[in-house]
Amino acid sequence: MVGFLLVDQPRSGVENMAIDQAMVERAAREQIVLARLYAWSEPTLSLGYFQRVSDRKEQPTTRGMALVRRSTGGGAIVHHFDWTYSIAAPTAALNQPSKSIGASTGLYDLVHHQVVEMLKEFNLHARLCEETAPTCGDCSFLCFKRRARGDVLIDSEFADSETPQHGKLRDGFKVLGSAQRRVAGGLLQHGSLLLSTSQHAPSLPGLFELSRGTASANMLSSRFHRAISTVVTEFAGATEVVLAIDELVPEYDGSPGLFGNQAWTHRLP
Amino acid sequence: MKVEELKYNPSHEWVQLADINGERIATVGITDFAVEQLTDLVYMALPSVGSSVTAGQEFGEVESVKAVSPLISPVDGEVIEVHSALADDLELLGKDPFGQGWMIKVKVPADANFDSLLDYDAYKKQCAG
Repeated sequence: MVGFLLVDQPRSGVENMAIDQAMVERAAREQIVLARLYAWSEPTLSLGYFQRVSDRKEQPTTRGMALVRRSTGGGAIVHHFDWTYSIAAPTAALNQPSKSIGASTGLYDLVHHQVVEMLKEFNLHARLCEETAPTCGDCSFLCFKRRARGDVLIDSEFADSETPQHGKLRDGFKVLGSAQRRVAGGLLQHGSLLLSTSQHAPSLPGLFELSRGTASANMLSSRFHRAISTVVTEFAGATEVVLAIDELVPEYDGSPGLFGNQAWTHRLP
Repeated sequence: MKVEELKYNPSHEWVQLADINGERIATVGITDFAVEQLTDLVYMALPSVGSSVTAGQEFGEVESVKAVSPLISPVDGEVIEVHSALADDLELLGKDPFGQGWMIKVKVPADANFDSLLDYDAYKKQCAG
C-alpha cells in the first residue's frame, strides 16, 4: 500500500472539507492512504455533523465567523490559530476486517500517541485522557471543552495563575481532538491541534500559552509533520510527500460539493 | 426474535423477513456486535416513512463519541415504519438490539432476492475474524 502526505496551503472551510471528502473517496477506491496538514484561510467555526446551528448561541464569540459543517461528529471547533490534519484510509488498512462500523481506535490512538510524544519534547506535560466524560450543559458546544478517551490533554497550572480568563478546566487542557467518518470502504479522520488562544474562544488556551511561549507554531510545525508522517507510514508502509493538491486528489476540481450548500450547513438549524 | 433466523449485512445490520397480509416486510436493525463496537452512541438519523432504501446503500447514520458511521440497508424497498423514538432512547440499542432496538420496517418487492446476505453462522464467523 502507498501513503501520500501533503502540507497544504491555507484554504476556506468549504474547500478544506471538500478536499477531505475527496481524499476518503480516493482512499477507499484506490486502497491508498492519504494525509494532509492544513490551516484555514479565515477564522472558521466547523460544526460537528449532528450539531445544531442554533447551539452557536452558547458561544457568542463565534458570531461573524465563517461557518462550515463537517461530515465527522463531535463538537464545534474554532479554527483560527490551529493546525488541522486529515488522514483517509481504506478499511483494509485499519487491520480490523470484522469491523466496519464505529471508530477505528487504532488510527485514533496512534495519531494521539504521536502527538503526546511530540509535546513531551517541548517539556509539556501531555497525556491522553483516560475516560470519556458526559457532555455538560453550556460547555458541550465546543470540542475543546469536551473530554473523551484519547483526547490529548496538557496538565498546566499556568492558566490558573496568569490567565484567569481561561478558567480552570477539570482534568487538564485539551489541545488535540479528532473525529472520524466512515464511508463505504474507507475512513476519514481529521483533528485540530490548538496552537494559541483565539478571541473567538478566549477560554481555551493553546500550546503557546500552556508552554509560556516556548512552543511556537514554527517550532511545532516540522515536528507535527513528522508525527503525521509516522502514522501514515505505520498504515501504508511508506510515506511519499507530495507538493500539490492535484497529486493528492486529482479528482478535486475546486468544487465545494455539498459543503458549499446551505442546506447541508443548516441541515440541523 | 431468534438471531439464528435473521439475515445479516457484512456491515452489521440484521434483517427479519416476514409475510404480513400478503406483503413481504423486512424489519431492520443493527447487531449487538455493532452496538458494542460503536460504544457511547450519541446521535442517530433514520429515514422518513415513504422514502426508498436500496440494498447496499446508506439509509441512516449513527454517531458515537468519535465517529459517524453509515447504516447500510440490507434490502430494497419502501420504508413503511420508522422507530422514531429510538433516537431519543439509544439505550434501547444496548438493552435489546434485536427487539426494541429495531430501526425501520421496509416493504420489499415480492421477487426480492436475499442471497447476498449472510446467515447467522457466516455472520458470527465474520465477527470473529
